[in-house]
Amino acid sequence: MALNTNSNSEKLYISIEQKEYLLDFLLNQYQLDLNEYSEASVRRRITKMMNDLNLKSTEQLANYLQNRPNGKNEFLQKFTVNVTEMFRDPSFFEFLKSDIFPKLNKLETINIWSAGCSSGEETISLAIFLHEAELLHKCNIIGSDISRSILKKAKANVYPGRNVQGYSKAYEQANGLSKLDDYFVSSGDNISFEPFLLEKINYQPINLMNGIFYRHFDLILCRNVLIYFQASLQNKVLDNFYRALKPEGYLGLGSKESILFYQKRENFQEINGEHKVYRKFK
Amino acid sequence: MASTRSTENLNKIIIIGTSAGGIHTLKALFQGLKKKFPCPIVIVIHRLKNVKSHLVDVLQNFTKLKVKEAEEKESLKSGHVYVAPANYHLLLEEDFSFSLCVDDVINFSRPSIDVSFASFAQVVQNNLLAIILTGANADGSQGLNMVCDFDGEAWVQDPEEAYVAAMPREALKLVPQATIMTIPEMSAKLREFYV
Repeated sequence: MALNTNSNSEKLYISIEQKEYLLDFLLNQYQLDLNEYSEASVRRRITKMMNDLNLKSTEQLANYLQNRPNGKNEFLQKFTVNVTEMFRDPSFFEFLKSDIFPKLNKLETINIWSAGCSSGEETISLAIFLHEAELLHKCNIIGSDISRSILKKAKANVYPGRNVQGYSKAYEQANGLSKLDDYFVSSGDNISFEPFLLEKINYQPINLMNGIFYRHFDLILCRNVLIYFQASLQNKVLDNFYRALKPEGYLGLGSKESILFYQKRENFQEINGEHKVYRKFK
Repeated sequence: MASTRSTENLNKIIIIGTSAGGIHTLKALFQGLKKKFPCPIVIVIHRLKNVKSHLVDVLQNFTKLKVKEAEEKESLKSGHVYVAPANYHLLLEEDFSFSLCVDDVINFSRPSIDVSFASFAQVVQNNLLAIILTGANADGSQGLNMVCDFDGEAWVQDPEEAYVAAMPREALKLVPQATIMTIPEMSAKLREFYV
């Protein structure tokens, strides 16, 4: 079964062979290697992309990308999961505030990496809590994503106002000190966060497969990114995080992620199993 | 198809989609299922995010099968009931391990029944049994359609019997060839799975 379309909907499904064709194309044309990404997610994302573009095969998708001015960026923008929210898992942020921030307080400067930050909602959530803990002034935060287009959105600092209600609720559940409304201004249907929150954030395009930092960070947050990778790639990325952390630096993962499959997990100490916070040994 | 499936040789996988009224209906469905049920059962039930949930414990009280939340990269095992975690979509990899994702909310839901059914249909194909039970929206009907496209089996709870008929009704609209059954009928049929 190479390709299956059904009459009731426009849904189409790509076979493994179809997927392999596209992965070869991406590697050859763009040096973009998705072979160690989760197979189920890759198929789902590519299928969605083809549905949105009304294309019937991955050959057509490859052709389409080749005829675009910047096919690689366009592919990455559509492929990467740009679903993100503020204060996702409020109890995680509450834990950061109560248990991790006091430890960072002693440092002269605090270097933080928000890895896979998408359009910046989580990075700004972090900045708000750092501000409330009176730590933001001495922080340097790198927000990184593989997709340049999504980072443009993050830098633009314009977010749809329709999400505010949900975000405010999550902020309250995380035990925020004031009201989320205090941190943004509305204009029309959109909101923008107060510039002082973004002052310490530096957005950069980074592929997590490439290790570029060495003993630099006191805290790395990488939440709900590893779930898209196979164990082999999770290992490489965790290796990079391990190198990038200072001794005794902290690593925070998504609520369903862990270092269970990490070959060098003895290098980390579990600080909290529920919130998936780890610490690099000295 | 991949020949490197690392897990035990699974003959069949059952996946169930439900929302409103689902917990009590599952209780009735599981009644009479002894330990060592010969295939894994996966449950995608709409649930609230950011709320401490006792769903696994509640379901565990209803059945002798082992109930747990599906974990990232966990391999499916017979006799286990896996519940999709809140605020993630649940997918299946080619090696029959779970995979989670945080893609867009579908049908106002994450987990979405459509997303899981579609993913399982592609991998498990004719060894998949997909069941739609009581529920308040149309989530699951597209996915059930896909299960049939891949030669899987489709059961839908009789809308007359369901606490909330919308979900079974929508599923039957799109997938009229699905087998309509009451819970006692489903439960009896599942008991035949034991060899």
